[in-house]
Amino acid sequence: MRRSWWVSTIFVALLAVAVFAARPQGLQSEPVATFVGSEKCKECHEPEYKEFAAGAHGQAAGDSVLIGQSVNCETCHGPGSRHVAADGDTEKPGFWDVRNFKKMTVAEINGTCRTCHKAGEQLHWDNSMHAREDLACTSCHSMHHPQDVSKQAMLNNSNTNELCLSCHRNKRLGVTRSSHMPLAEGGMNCADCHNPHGSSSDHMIRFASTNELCESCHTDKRGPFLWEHAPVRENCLNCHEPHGSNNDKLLAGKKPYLCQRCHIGTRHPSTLYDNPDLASNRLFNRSCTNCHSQIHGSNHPSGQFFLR
Amino acid sequence: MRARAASFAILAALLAASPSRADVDGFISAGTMWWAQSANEATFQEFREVPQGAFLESFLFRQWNGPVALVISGENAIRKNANYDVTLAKGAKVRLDVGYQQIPHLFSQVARIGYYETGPGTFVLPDSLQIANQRVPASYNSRMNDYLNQSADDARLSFRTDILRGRLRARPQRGWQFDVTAVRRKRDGRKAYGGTFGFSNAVEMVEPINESMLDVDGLANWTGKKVNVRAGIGVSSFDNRVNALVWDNPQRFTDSPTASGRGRLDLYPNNDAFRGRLGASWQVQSKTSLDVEATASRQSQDDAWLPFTINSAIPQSSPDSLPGRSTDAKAVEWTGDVRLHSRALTPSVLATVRLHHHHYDNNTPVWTFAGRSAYDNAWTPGPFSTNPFGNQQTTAGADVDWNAIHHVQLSGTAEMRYREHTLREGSKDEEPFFQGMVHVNPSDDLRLKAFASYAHRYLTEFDEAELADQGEQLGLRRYDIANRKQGRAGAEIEADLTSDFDVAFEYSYERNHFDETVYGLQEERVQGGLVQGTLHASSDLDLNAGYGVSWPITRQASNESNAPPPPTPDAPTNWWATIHDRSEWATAGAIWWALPKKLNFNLNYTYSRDQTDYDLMNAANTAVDVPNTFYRRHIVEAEALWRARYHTDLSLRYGYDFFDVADFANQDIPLLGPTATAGTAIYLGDNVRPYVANMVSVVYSRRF
Repeated sequence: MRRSWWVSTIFVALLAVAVFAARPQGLQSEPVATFVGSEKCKECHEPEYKEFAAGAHGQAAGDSVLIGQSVNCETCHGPGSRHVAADGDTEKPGFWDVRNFKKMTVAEINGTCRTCHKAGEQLHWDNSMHAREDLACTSCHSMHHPQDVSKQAMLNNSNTNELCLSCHRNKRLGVTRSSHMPLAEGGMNCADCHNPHGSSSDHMIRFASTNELCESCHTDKRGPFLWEHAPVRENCLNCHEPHGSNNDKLLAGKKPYLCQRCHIGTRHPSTLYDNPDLASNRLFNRSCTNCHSQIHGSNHPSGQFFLR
Repeated sequence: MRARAASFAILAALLAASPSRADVDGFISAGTMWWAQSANEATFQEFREVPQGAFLESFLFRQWNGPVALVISGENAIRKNANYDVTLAKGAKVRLDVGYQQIPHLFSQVARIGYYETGPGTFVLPDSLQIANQRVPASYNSRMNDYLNQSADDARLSFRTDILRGRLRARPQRGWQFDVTAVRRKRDGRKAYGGTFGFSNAVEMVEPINESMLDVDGLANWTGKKVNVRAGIGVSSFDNRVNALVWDNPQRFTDSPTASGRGRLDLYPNNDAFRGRLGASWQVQSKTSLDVEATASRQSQDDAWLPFTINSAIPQSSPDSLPGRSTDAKAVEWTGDVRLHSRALTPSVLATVRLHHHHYDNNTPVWTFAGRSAYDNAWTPGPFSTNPFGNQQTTAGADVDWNAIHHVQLSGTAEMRYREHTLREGSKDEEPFFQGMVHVNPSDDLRLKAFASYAHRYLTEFDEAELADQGEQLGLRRYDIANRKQGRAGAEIEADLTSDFDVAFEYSYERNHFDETVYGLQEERVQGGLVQGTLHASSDLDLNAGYGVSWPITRQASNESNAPPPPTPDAPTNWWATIHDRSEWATAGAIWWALPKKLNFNLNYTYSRDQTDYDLMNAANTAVDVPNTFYRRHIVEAEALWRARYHTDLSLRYGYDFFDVADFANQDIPLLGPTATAGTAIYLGDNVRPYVANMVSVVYSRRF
């Protein structure tokens, strides 16, 4: 008898908790926030509003028919009536009613941005390593305080490469090497080759293969050639280190030793070039490519060994 | 000149822009700089023009009026590395971006050449010099030395790529997006290039560069509630306006069946590509999606062949000796990618299953030639046939990311890779790959990450006879198609030690072991580590510092004799090279507001050092190591900024750039080779040299 009384009491208590927890939101006594419009936000947040209006988000405000919903402050931050009603008093619960991106989870942030940004550059976001690493859109972008010169990408760093290097720290070793791409000099940036929002290729590169990517700038090397060099045709990275190298032309090793990893046939390819050969044109200057200058392939009928 | 005119036009437009009925903002940063360099070394301005005198560092002009906006921005205006962007937008409907960029590449400021360019790609020596060298070869070295030292002119080893790009994005109806891009690249200049008449008569020439590239791509994209479909097409063309490099033989004037008065090589041929892309994404359920993507590209090249040789004394110098007129080269490159992602099992697990296929299908016909004239000197009878190499790779994989418990994420990847290599000795291989990763965030102030992976590539088809046909050692395994075991591991720690002080540590290790390779690359090991930290010392002072190091080591083996029978791993003619690289970087920075919002000091220091040690060894124990090489650089940038008014800054900047180098291959390059083995070689003398540069500038910035 005593035992059944306790069981009944606990059961009733649990039921009460469940009913209370499951009650519909509409039954809450507090009023539901409503939309107030961007002009109201501007009154207190003028710098943020100005940046919004000057950027692509502000320009899209009038095209709700095209992009599916009205674009204004409350599209991202939620309805603001209770926030406005709090009148700057952080003690009032309504003050915190708007969505504050600094306090939101990664999933909430990305979910908000992905409401609109789900095609084009951002199409493969869900596949991307950045998504798997739980990065938020705001890890790289700042809607209201963009630092990039043109403010078009709304990046939170004035230098795209520095932004990438803030996480990919070990890549700094490559870009500071003696042989490097023009990254530090501003000639290109990481996003020229990689799509940080993801792609259907390895390492989030912007093209279907490494060679297609490299040949998009180095189009002279695309061929196809009459005489092909097999590792060149297969993958530029067989010989080159695109992130930087100790060797000329971003090569993965110093010539002739790099070439001698694959060529040890009779005569000079298999010869050990050491200190007494320092002035030999097989070790000196551009080494093997002093003569085999057409190493990426030749279209000359006599170019089998890339000499012509 | 045109770039300067464009710069001034943009500036004039900026000044003339009317802010009526619109909002306007932007900034401009300009100044004047003085610099001096202790040696005229190209590294200082390798990819940029360091301004001497007035410069316009950067600017931005934005004007918007409701849905309409105009944005003009630029950097390094009126310089050789200028970059300008203009954006015109009308709501979400239309957005047009136009940009112009220059990327210079300076190789040498001291290179000299004794040849004169008489036409695009045609370089000559004085006939009298060639005649004298042919008549009295014994005094070739002294005669050429005298000639080159007296008459060689500036070779201007640099080129610049000018990029003009446009992009139009449009959303005409709900769900539809169109994206059209066009990029035109023009590359102009010269770089060093090898031209040879044989081992004892190697000539370093310049390659004249006058190339243009055009890429136009269009993409249509439709996004519905659960479906995205996209399709795109594009074209790309490469046009080389210098078809061939022709240069005089310094040792001969007249052609003979065993020696030529001139050499000729074929420069990069014109080529074209057409490409297409189809893709679809489908949200199968709320927690599952499927992505399918396919791309195809058809590449072709049909430049007319040059004759076998320019040597008129060889009968095959006539085009009629050729089996055709052009390569008729063509290849189809296509990829297919299918991915299924799902959280259907449980919301804490994201699972991905994927299949990726890439195929470079080289359809270029096999050409067989009756012989060749490798150096234009003599005719070597054949036949010799071409090898239109192709390749393909299929990767099947699965990834799982599991938020196991609060603050802990476990990730795993399993892949199987299948590769095929047409016409190579290793024609097929397979490689299973496994990777595990763990993220642990015990608190918001501490983030830990560790990963490890293992892959084992093994050849499933190998044709030893193919190696023998190429005249290679049978023990050779080329590293891109050799059996390989690959192991990688690494760890990262990020800690916010206090609210003002955070540090990060990283360590990584990779080993590629080619354990069945007798000759070739046998092992590659890379270790790397870094530490980095930032300190918000006070409301006025921020400090940061970092240091990183990497130690790659490679070990390779070879054999100086190719006489049968195949040599064994302990053959007396074997040799080995173990190459140790050590690369380091360090950074340090400070930002100090000495007078809040008035006076700011900014200091940045960057250090990098690359050293390589060559450990050479042979079975006869006679090998002598070549000297170590190293490249070292210190860069200091200091700035004192006075904020005169809220919108106006005045800066005084100082820059220091120290470059030190020791590289036996790239230093002290003479115009004529110095030793008996290469005494007749002609070089351009484009040395890499140590230098120190100091820069001082005054910069005015104004935001409006």
